[in-house]
Amino acid sequence: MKNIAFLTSLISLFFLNSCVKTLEAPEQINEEELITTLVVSLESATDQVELRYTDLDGDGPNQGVFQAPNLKPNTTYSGKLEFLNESESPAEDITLEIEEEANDHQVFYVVNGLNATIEPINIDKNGYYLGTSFSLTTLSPSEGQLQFILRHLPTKPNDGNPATAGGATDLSVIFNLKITE
Amino acid sequence: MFKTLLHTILIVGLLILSIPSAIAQQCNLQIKGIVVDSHDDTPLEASSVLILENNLTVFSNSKGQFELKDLCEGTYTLYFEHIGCKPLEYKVDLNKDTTSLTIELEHHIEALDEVTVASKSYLAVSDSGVEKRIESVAIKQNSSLQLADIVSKISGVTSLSTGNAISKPIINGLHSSRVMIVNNGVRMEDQEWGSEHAPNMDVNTASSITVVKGANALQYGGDAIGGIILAEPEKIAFKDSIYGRSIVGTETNGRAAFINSALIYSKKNGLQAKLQSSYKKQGDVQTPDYYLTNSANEHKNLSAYIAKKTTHKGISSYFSYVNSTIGILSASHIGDASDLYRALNADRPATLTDFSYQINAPRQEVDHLLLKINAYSIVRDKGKLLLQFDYQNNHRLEYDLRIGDQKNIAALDLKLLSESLSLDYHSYRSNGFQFKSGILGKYQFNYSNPDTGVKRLIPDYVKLHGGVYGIADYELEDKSAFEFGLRFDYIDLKSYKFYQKSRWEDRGYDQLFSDFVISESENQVLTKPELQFPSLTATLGYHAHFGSNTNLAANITRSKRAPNPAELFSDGLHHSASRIELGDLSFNQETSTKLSVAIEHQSNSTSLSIQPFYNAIKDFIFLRPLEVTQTIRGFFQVWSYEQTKAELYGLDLDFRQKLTNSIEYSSQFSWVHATDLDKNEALISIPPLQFNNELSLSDHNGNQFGIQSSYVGKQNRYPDYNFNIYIPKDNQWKLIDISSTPKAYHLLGLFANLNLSTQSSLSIRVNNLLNTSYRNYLNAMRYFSDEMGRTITIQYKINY
Repeated sequence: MKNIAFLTSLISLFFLNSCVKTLEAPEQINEEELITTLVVSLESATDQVELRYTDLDGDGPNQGVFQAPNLKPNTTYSGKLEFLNESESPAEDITLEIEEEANDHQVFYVVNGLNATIEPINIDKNGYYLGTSFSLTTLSPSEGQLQFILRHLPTKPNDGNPATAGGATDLSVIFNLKITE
Repeated sequence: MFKTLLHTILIVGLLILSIPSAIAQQCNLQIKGIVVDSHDDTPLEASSVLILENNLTVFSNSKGQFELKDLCEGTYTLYFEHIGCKPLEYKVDLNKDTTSLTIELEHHIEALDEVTVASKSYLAVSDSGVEKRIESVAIKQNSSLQLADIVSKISGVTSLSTGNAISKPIINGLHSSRVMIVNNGVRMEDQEWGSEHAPNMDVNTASSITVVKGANALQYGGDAIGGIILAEPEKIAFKDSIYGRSIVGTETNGRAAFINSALIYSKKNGLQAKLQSSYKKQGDVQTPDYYLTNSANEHKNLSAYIAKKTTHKGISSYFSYVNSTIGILSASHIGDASDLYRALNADRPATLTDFSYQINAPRQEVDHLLLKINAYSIVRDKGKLLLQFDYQNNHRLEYDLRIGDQKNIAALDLKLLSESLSLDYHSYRSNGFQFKSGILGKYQFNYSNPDTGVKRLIPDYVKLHGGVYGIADYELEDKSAFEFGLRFDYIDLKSYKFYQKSRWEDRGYDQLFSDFVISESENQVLTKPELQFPSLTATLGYHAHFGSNTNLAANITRSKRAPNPAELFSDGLHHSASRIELGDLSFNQETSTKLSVAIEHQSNSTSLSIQPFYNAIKDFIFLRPLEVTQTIRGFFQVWSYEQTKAELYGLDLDFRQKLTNSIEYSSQFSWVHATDLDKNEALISIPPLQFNNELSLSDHNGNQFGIQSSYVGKQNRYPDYNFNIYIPKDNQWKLIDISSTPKAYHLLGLFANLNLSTQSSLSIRVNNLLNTSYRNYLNAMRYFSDEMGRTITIQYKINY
């Protein structure tokens, strides 16, 4: 029994002195990689349009907000994508990181119902498409969707078809658009 | 000398005490005796005593005592058996009233001829519960497997897995926080709530693993409404010796190598020490058609034990460190539901690569440190007093595919510290009564490292837990016994948790839990939830013997489980599942009422065990899809934890038949039927019907050869959680079928165990012999890839 008594006191000491931490208010985490905003800047000789999708609470319950003005027919726009984290101030531009790691990323485009074609322009270090800049050519007036998909680690090179290119989707935004005079 | 030590089992001594008696009468003679452990004379409970001449069997009570009555004059052969001991045959000439015997059984160092799974249902843990055990030999022959894969050799136990290297046990349809794992007397605290969090223990540290299919073993806790897994270390003899063993082996699939060594030192005066270590490295495994990219893994383990024991008291200390790095299948790293749609509609991953040992992101790096000190003392020969302190530190890092500066920073970094102190008293049986009682205090601290730069999945919290229990058991004249136990637990949980403001309001928490709010920023709310969970658990059991070889054990247990941190606090995207998961702060405890029965019949050549169960769970917590949401990352299904009334019932069957002296057939059958009674639909992730058969051939030298067949049915009862998403490319809404279950499958296996010499043996196992392609409903990777193809494992064991 002496052993036991000795052990108990030993353990109690250990238990009381070490390793018992008190709960303190933790620091707030602002997710750095969070993309809250996609900005699509379209510029032609005669027109300038900005499409924008903003979802400030990320995976939270609030719905995102679209801004999708009309496009002009028979126009070639040069386009540029920007990925922003606007939950921080000032907003963080995540496009820079994506362009730095161009080999691991690619933007895919899907056009549905719109009389338009879209082609990627910029490339990664291996000469394969990255697609954060592109060219959009509109034809006759029409209505439909334009989807931008940012994939992490797709199979490269690929034929630009998101259904077969693999990888994990980091961003997917569908704009409802109108091409009209 | 070592030869004798390791390969022949010594019977240390037999002692016969005769009480003289003048009159010899016919057929009212009796044999009384006690069965003890030869090392330290501790009584061996539940030893079976069989009279070979008339097939009469009795069992020793907790003091090791047994009685054989109404015997006639003559010579009898008694056959003594106890788990972990070499059976002993003993001849006795009966010619006087009472013959008293003291039988000493020696615990094996190596139990050569023991069967894989003991078939008795009422062994040492509790008197009336349904229990099954895996013995030392089976563990050593499967040295490279994980805990869940070894225990799933028991009927009613299956494994829930995430790929090939993460698996956790399911008992009678329940898993994770509902299954308690007790490793060397210490309840594992290793973030067991997550389905992709495997238990952090190395099976090589255990000598036997017992599965209790219920919460009735109250001495370990009151909340194991699924069941308890007890891994126990080997017993070391009280003698001067030093010995060891090493197992080295390889697996063809994944080109794995593994090694496990143990060194044991003991002195006659009760000093004992053991040092054990193991290592396994596996590369990418292969399905019949392709390699699983990034399925490589690495496991390390080191354990040490030192003790000083005497017959009446002892003190011991145990240390173990487990470290695992596990790659997660690349193809399972997906974004939104359209990625899931693509995976579901492809018969193989989009990107296939060649074999590699490289473990890239996504991966898990987990380490677990366990330290235990315990002491016991026999109090006035009436019982045993045990005092134990344990310390555990679990550190889990999960690396995701990230960009920029975050590339090499874990996306999840959790440290869980647990300490507990307990005092228990187990009495020996006297006048039919035996009781166990104890008290427990536990402290737990979870720290979620903010350096991840990712929202905390599990918040920082402190959990205090106090428990007290008493179990009494009364054995009647006819050796049938009643058991009754009560346990009270109190859990106090304090946490700091940030909520997105939008989520806090969307869930209505701003109304319900405004007291918890500490401060608010522009888009987040800091809260301090304080929750208390008192619970009362009760168990009532009965076991009886009918005739010489039929037993019945029945048990009803009402137990409660407090919601775990994931169920309370989840709030965000679960990457590997491609869904948003939401906990609920207002949850009650689950209350389970489980009835389990075991009916067993055993004769020389046949054994049959039938184990039906019924489990009704009030406020059963589970995840159910709530809606589909569109975020900037695409479409996601939102799953929320909900409570319902659940009902699970089923049947486990074990059958074993000796066909000849050398050929044995055995089979196992498990079936569970589970329903959400509120919605009147099936529960998700319930194991399908399983039927295993084995035919084995063995000779008296312990060489063994066998063939195994395993049939797993299609789970036809599953809830419909499918949903639709819009895919612009096809200009269509597409059905995402996440609910349908995989086809039934049948796998064949072969095994051979050869004793090369008294010191060494070779085991060869072939799993999935026919290289069958199949998917397993209980593997989270079933959406993305097939299961492993043929695997040949060769291992060589040497004793020294």
